[in-house]
Amino acid sequence: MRSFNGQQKQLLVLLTPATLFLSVFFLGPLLIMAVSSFLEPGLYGGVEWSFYPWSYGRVLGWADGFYEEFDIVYLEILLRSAGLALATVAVTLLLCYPVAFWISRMPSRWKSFCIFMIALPFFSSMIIRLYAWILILRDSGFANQILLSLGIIAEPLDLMYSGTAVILGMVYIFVPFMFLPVYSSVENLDPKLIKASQDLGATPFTTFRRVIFPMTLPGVIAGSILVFIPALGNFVVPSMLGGAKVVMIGNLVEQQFLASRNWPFGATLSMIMILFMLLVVSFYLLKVMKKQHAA
Amino acid sequence: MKSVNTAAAGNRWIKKTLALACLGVTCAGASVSAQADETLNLYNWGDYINPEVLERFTAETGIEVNLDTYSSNEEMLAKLQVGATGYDIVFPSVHMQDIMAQLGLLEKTGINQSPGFENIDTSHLLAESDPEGEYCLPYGWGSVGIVYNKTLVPELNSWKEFFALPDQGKKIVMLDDMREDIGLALLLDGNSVNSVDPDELKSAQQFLLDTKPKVSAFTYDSIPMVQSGDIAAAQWYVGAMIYVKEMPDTLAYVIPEEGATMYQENMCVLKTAPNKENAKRFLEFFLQPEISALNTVQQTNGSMNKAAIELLPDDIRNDENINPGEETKEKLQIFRELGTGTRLYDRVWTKFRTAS
Amino acid sequence: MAVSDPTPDFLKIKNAFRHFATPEGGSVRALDGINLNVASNEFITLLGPSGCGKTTLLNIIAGFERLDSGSILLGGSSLLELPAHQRPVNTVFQSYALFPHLNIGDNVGYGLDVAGVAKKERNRRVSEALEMVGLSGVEKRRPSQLSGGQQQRVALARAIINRPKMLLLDEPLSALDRNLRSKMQIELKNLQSELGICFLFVTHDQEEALTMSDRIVVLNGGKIEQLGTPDEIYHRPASRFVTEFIGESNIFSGRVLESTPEFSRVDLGGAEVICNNPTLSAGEQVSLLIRPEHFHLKAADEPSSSRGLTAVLEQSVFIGRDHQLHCRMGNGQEVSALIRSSFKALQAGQPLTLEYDPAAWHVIPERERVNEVI
Repeated sequence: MRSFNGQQKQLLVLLTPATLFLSVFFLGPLLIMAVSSFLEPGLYGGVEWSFYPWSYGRVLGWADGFYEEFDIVYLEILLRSAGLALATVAVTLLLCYPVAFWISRMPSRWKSFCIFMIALPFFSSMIIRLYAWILILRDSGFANQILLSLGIIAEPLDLMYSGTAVILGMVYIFVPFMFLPVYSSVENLDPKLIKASQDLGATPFTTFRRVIFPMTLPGVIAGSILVFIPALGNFVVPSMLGGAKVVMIGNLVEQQFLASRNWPFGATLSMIMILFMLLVVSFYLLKVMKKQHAA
Repeated sequence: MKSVNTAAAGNRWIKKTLALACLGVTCAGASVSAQADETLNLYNWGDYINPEVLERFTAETGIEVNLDTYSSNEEMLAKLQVGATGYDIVFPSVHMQDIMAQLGLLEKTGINQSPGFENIDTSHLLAESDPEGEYCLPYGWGSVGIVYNKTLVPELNSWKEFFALPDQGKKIVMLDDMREDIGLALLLDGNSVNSVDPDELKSAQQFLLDTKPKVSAFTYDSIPMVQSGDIAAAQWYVGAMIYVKEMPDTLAYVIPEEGATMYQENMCVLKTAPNKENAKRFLEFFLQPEISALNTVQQTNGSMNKAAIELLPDDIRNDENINPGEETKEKLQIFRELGTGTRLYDRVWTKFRTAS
Repeated sequence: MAVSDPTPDFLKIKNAFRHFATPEGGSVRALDGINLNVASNEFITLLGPSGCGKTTLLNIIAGFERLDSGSILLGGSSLLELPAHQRPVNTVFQSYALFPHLNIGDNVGYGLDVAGVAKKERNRRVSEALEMVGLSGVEKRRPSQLSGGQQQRVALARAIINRPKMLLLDEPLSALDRNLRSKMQIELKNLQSELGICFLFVTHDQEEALTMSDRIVVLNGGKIEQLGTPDEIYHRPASRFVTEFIGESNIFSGRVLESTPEFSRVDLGGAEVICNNPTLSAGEQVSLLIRPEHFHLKAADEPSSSRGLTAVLEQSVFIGRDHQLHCRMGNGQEVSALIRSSFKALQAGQPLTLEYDPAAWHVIPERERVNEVI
């Protein structure tokens, strides 16, 4: 039998708890969910222990007949959720990118203060913060009151329960996830490189396109992934600020586990969502890595 | 925001949005652990019992009460199904009681033999699995009608008027609840709220699809919006009465003339209960009219304890919405377990919610 | 690249002022009235300690900072109105500032790429520039795969590829080791003559400045202390500051005893020296300086002369070809001398006579504060 030297032993001791923890609390539930998605739904929730691929068929295009029918609606919901997640990524990025530059140029005590302010919402519950947005956005809310008193509008705007409110809420919730990685890559950007580019005759726009953006791309990618993944599964914001008028993949999963008591189908939807995310993220990463290699 | 957090029957659904986080396979194991000799572990909806009742029980018996809460029947069932133990008493809705009886989760208590059970209105022994009350004690009930802002809508008596409000530029919201919304659509068609007839469901779906563009939102958090006048009227629980009593000039609640759905929860002892004797004692404790009344006054919902109703203050006892007369009660329909029919509802609901 | 006829006043800096606010609320003068003319083929060095304003001046010429007042003309037209990317100057940065996400070819070709030069022409010029700095065939590598010296050459190639009228070099050699630095100094000087353009070189290393420059601008506190050829700066420093900053010197304070057109006698307080400096007047206070290498030891058999300082040897350090002698004079002042190591070993405590040539003394009258004008 092969024996371990001291360093390997030390490594083993150090890594074992983390590995065990991850496998029990991360892979374990994932595995249970994967298995459940192939089981027959119990009449009153739970699962029956027989192989049942029809939950997948219901989403992806094959089904067995009476109860499980293929319905394109589930893929539509997934795509709609992906659309909302992408919109959230785009808006948070547009917002965070310039602000990151602005803050990174501040004196250091202001910097810390601003970063603290951006991370501050993390300290309170998301539900509470979304209630605050309801108070702002509703017809008699602060936003309309201010606009009315300034004479900008004559009638209250229909802000609440709209697509705008949903985007606003999503952006608000996910801004810190985008900001922190983008900020760290902006902060690490050597200002000399920008000078060098200008010095070599590049206009500010060219400098942005050829130096600043490629150099901060890793932060942008990390931020995008960090926002996209939870945004895809988020259903609280569409429910609370959008009035639940459109269903997101997250609502659908919730519905399956609760009102509809179809755990395997809920697990199936979750698995498909996870696979979809893996696909999107790895495609993204592959493309970037390829680009880095080619360059 | 403050208002939605104060107790009332309907508010227990509010936290539903959070429920998923706790659900499913990772959540096995009850949160109740240490078992002293004299304890009782309740698993109830959030804000669905007057804390004073629990204090009185402990004072009288020396039994310590632990309270854990859930926000939907399904959440409670799921937790028990994946093996949560340690709870003594749960508060399922009637149709959920039937499911739990099917699954053999409930203990026969013989509560109907206890003194004071004669005060229970037998018309509220609604569970099909327990027509005599051998298992569970009826706890509380209420209707799901309309709460509206009187400054915007002086008077409202029917669902028809409710759904006509958007045409007058007034906003309405409905509950974000599969059974309530489909049930209402069935009820307005003159059908049973428990119908699994595909044609009836199709008609209900069509009604919902036609109605959807008029409805501003589907939510449980309607009361503050109606209070502020941002929403004119909302489909909501009789628990709204607590706010109506606070602001009688602004708010009103009505059971519409077409009828409404109703809910009822019963107090049941679990088969796995570690403290069955204490649980029985609590049920008997609650049979006392003054205890039952103490709870009803705080919850402003319906009581099925006739002696307790006598003890209620006039404004609650005589309120046609809280304690409706027989004529109104006839028009209320309670949800039943649908069995495999749940799948049909799931599809109607998904279709409806996906439509734009 | 073609070398055109030199223009004498190619770069003209007039009354340049620039101040910075300090965090404490005060204000620091980074440039305090700088006037400077540079020829179009000159290798000129801005030399001074950190904070003297040399980098500020470079940044202003490059366009990274603005001037409070004054003017800068390049080839007769004002630079100050142009944004950095339109100025016909290029910069070699301290620590190189190579683009880490681009390979060497793309780094060097960057200036051509943003100018939209055709691919073929661009590639030809990239390899030409790399060849010029002695670094061919590395186009496909990444900056991180090169050594410090190689990165330095890439930075140089990148900066000259746009054929600037003037090259700004901001302490480009400071990160290199000693041997490589000396080698690069020579290469830089050669490159400059080959290109025939003006190099403005910023450094705090006086040796580097002396090695390469046509002229040196010694800066201190935002002012020009002295402007001159390396020879002038070294041998005829205009102020005590320059003296102390450039090379090693023995500096004495003294009073003139007698001054004739041929020589002066100066009292150092207990010791007397003879120096050739006709413009002094008796009784005047002066600073006198002499480089250590300008002393020599009198051989035992030579006749003694009055042109020597007597001192006691305290320590003798062997530094290769020479011995460095640390001595103390009778009046307690220290004096150091650099002596060829051909003599037999000297003993500490031994009395010596350090002989000098009267022409080796440099006298700075203390009434005069030398700056600005020049």
